[in-house]
Amino acid sequence: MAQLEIQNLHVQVEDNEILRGFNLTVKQGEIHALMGPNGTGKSTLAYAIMGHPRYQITEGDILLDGESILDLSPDERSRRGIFLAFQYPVAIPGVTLANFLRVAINARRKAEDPEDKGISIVKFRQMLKAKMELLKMDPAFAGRYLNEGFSGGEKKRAEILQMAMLEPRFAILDETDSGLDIDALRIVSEGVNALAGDHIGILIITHYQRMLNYIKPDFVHIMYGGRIVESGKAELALRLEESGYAWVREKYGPLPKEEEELTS
Amino acid sequence: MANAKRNTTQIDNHEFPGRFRLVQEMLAVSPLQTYRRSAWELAEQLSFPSKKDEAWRWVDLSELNFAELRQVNGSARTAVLAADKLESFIRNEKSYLGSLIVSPAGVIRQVDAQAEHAGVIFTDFRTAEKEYPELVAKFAGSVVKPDESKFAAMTAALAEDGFLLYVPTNCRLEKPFLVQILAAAGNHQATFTHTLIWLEAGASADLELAFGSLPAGSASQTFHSGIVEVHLDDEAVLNLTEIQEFDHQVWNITHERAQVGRNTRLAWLYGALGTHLSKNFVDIDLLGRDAEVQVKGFYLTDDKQHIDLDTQQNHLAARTTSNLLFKGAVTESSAAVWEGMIYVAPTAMQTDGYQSSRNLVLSRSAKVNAIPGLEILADDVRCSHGATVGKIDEEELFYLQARGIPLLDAEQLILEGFFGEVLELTPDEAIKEDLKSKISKKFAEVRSRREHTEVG
Repeated sequence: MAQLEIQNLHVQVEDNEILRGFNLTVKQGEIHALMGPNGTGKSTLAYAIMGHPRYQITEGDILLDGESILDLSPDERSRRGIFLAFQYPVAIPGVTLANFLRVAINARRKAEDPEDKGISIVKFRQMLKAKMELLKMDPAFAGRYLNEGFSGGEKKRAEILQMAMLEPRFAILDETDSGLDIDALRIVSEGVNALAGDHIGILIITHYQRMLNYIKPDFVHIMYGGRIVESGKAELALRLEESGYAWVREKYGPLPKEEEELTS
Repeated sequence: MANAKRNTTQIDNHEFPGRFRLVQEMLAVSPLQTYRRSAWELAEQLSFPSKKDEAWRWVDLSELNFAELRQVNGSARTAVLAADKLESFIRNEKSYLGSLIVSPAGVIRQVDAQAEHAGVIFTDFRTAEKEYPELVAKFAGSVVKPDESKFAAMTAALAEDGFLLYVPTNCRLEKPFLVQILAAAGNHQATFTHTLIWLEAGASADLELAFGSLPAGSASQTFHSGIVEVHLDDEAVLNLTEIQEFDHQVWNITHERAQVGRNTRLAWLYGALGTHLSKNFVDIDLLGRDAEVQVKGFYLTDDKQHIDLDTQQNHLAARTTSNLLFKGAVTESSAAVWEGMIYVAPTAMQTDGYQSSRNLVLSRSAKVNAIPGLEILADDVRCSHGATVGKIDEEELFYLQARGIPLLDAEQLILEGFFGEVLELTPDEAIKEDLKSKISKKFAEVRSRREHTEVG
């Protein structure tokens, strides 16, 4: 079975080590939730998996189907089936959501077959319409410039739409629940549930438990100080909901930064 | 020492009039005899623009081999190109009220009979001179003065190509006009063009104007100098799309100005893609109250191109509005300059003026200069400007790459989006698509050269 393995990953950003020996394996068909206090390296993990040039991997490896992807560019990683729903989606002025999605789909087709002429307009429209209905999105949305002037909820919905259109094998949802009101949270979560299944492994990165009321994870991990410190089933998330992260801090000591603050 | 040497070369190459002559054959039939003669005298008196002249400080003409340039005129003109080749430039993908191909090799003209019946005049400059001498004599030089530079004077004196679009009072034209001006290419040929766009009170028109080159006879330097005079009488409305795509061997200088009257609407979309070197003056004089002008421009340069755009928004009457946006991207070893000025006369109260230039630098050896300027002599006005020069945002690139789009495709998509805002000025979807594909095509060429070098 296909799997995404993160092995002893150390990542630094501008000389600051953020990930310190992170280990996790996500198999197709599984839903994992990665939780943890702010500043613990959750988004760093997401960017590192996707291959953002600013995140330097100093040790460890990321394997997809047993092969390292560290030498692959972000677009190659995407075409291999990895998807990142951004916490802060970037606006691209002048490029409509529909046009962008068509280019993204055609890039995949062309990578598979250099002679490919691209998806037909009719087929693309049908596909887009169906996926937008799934996410209860107004079709007019497709004609808007990508993320430009989108509300927080619209941006997150557009991220899930992209996931639906690109049909990844592994999806990382980075704080997809942040900035959503309760209705939007429900719609986005239902959308994710509709996309979940045996063919996809999902890693939900979140600070709060609330998204997990809608999406039932198979595993929950607590990240702290750049690595996973606790793993368990859904109950672990409930424990965090009830008693916060204080016990984690107590058990594993202050974060390096907090340590500095304490000693200075 | 190096400078001194270059200056010597410049003088050798730039002795006026070189091979240019004010030909008697042409003067004899011209109602512009006086105009042409006095312009020629000016051309003799005025010195070549140099970097010491404020408006020309970024323009290096020292490599222009002026002494070799010659104008193809008289009976030699038609020999430039066989007529059937000219026909290959005919575009009939959509319905125009009139279309015109103007070139030293000949003219192809087609115009709607009803429009002509309504008094519209749409013809090439030479025919206009012969058939509408009074109008041409009245219009020529009324907006762009021959004394604006040596090149303006030469063009006023020598221009044989160009056209006249005249729309009579209250004549509102629904369908667009298309003009393609094709300059001679190669063999050190020089083409001078004079364009007159004249809308009487309450008239309205749409015009697509494309500057291009005839198939090149050789790769040698080629020269084009043009005058574009636009006059909008009170309440007139003009949508003008102008695209310059001369061959890369062309040195191009234009003096373009629109003078707009009371309560007029002018939308001017200006695209520059071609030439080796261009210096364009694009000026707007807002002469009547409540006039509203929008100018949007784009430039995309490659190779060693140098495109220099000089814009002026002159608010000379109260309650006038002008909104200007130029967007550019420079690649390879090319350079672009945009220098803008908003001038507000003491009487032009409640002026609303805006100018902005946004630029992307896509290679380490490419350069952009964006210089906005304001000169405001009235106190009750709202004027602002902005200019930016930067690279493509890395987070934007990463976002698109994270969706599987390769780096160069991501750059292209961002670039197309970047220019999209400018192209929005035209309500015509076909024009928009056409310009979009021209931009994409040019960028694709740059890309393929880059891919080639990176592989090799």
